[in-house]
Amino acid sequence: MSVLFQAPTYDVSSSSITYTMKHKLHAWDGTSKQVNVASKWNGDKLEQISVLAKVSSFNSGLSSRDSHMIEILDALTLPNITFSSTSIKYNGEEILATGKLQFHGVTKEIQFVVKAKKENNQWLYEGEFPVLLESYNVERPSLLFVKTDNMMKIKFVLVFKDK
Amino acid sequence: MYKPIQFSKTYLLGFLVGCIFCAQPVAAQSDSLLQQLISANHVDSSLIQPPAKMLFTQRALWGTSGLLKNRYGGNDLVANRQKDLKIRRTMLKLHQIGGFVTIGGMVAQGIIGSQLYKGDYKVKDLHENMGMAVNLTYGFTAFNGLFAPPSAFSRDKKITSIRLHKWLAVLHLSGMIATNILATQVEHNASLKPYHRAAAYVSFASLATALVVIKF
Repeated sequence: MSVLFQAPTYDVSSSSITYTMKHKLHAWDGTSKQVNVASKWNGDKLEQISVLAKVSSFNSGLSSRDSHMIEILDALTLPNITFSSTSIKYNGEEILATGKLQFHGVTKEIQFVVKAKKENNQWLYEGEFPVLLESYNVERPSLLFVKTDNMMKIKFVLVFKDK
Repeated sequence: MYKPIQFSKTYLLGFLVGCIFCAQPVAAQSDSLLQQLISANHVDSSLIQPPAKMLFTQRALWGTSGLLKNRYGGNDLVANRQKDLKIRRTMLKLHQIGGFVTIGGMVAQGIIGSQLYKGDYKVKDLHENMGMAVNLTYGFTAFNGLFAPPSAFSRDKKITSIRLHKWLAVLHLSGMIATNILATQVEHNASLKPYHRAAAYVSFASLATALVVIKF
């Protein structure tokens, strides 16, 4: 876990990113609690953010499945999933974030809504966005000859605690 | 009288340069933030090596002292591990296909076997041939499961579907061995027929359950 470029200094170790995938037979989640964040603040306002999570850090509770993800996402040569904001627009407690998502070596601009709230001495930024696997050149995994859904949902909770 | 505004070339050039410089900082700062994260996050060395825990059958082939230790010739560990995982994926697909074919064969064998059990000896040869076919597809399936390169991780601590799948494999493998041994004995000792049938049913039930519990 690392935090760079921030003033004031925050602890982001409680942050997590979760993916949800679906197959005709079942759905499952994989969570990474090793979220690397670099951010730039203007007082209490987040101005810019970059987030990185390693593919290998996602744990779905099944080693074999996680290993399969390593293989289909070519994580040995493309180990990271990154997001880097290009625009952050505030609208009350909601934020419209725009930025570049790099996944499986493909970079695409995405936009999503983030809910921001301050609780005690920490800032919480929560949101989700869809990722279409095939648009990032990912071959969908299959079970019993049936492929998983093309859409994978990414949900994140970024926690910035005052140090 | 209307007079259009005229811009000099120098003014236009200055304007364009100004626009570019104003737009650059956001993107540049964003990239700089990301770059610092990326530079601190390379490939996990733990992914390049197979996990410490693996089946003895896998260790015999893919382990550091296994039969295939010099399998690709090159020293590029990342490329070698990628090839391992690709082979693993192909073998596990074949394992799935083989499992389905075997289950189908077992169902057919169950129908033929019950006719033979009732005294229809015309199907005896068919029963034997089907037994051979089921043994072959079962062996093929088992080979692809047992000798596939090890996964990237071995971090499961609780009971998972894969662990159940493996435990059930012990049961159906034992059932298959017992069924085959009893099949050779039945010709000389007809009283063993119910045991042969029971062993076959146990093999079928545990293989079918192993197939159901597995998840992607």
